Amino acid sequence: MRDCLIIIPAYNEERNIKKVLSGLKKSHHSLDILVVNDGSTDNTEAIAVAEKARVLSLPFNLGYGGALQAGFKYAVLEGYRYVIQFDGDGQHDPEDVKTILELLELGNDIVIGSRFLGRGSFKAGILKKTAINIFRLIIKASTGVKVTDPSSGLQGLSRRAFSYYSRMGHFPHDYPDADVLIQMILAGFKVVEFPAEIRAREAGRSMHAGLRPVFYFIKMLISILVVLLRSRFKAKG
Amino acid sequence: MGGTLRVIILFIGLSAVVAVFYLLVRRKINERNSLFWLCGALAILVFSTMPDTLDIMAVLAGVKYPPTLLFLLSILVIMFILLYQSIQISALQEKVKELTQRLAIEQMDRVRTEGEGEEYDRI
Repeated sequence: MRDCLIIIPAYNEERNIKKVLSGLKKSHHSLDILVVNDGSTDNTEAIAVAEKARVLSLPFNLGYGGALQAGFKYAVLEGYRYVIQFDGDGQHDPEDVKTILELLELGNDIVIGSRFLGRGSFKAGILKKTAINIFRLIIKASTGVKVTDPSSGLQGLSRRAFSYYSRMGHFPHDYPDADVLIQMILAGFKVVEFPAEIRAREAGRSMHAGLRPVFYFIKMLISILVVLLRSRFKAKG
Repeated sequence: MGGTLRVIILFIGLSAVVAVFYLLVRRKINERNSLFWLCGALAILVFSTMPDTLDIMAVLAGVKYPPTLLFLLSILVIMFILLYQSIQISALQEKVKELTQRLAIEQMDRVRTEGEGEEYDRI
């Protein structure tokens, strides 16, 4: 069984992907890297190939969750023990990969790099802070587990966790968030957080921009409610 | 209901039936999905040929103004069709996603085994 695959979902990241890949190469010689090119219309694919990363190219844009799930499927087929999801926009620090691996080796299923545990220079607006606080409260109340950064894109997953995600219908199209975490904790997966260094985006537009957050927040509340209902029904029979 | 109006409604109902069958023959719609529309067309035909049916139903349901019952029923049927289609679209989206991912992985494997791509670096 192979060790660890770093999955980088990338949609039009030609300005960032080279730096991200060379940063990872510099600090981690023994890890495989898979760039999931999510239907980019720019040179993301060519740059990733030139950097000698494996590239899984989707024929059209599936969205962040769809791209990640494609990576999980690949990791299952290739027999990896762990995967680490890493953003292609330069926000994550390659040094954190080491910490994730250590925590996975300890038997954790989901290791989350949190922006809110002291390290890092991440600043969120008041609305975003409120939304995150609400999600934290819901997670704590429904599972008893404290998670400070449910939407973090920097995560390590055990084979048990990513095999589960890789199956049809087990992972959202857009952004996995508090809903997915609650579902996993209730299903008995072990979740742990560590303080991660998350930088501001170096180039390009963030995926959480515009009027979307409002719609996203409501959708997430409904999604959490559905997860809780589903687990209740399952418990009963 | 006036004579002209009945003829117009009868014509609409018949056109709807013809349209659905035309689509079925041309394979633009499948039999399962055509059922709802055929039922709708049939309902129009019934109400246009036997306008009293609506009045009787309204009396039975305690509705004072019969056309409102017609509107209520039509809206319910349309809502049902829309909900059914949303269910189908969700299922299709999930299937398309699954197929897209599998296709991409297969394609990547093929490129590798055909030896077009050199061995990837272990980085």
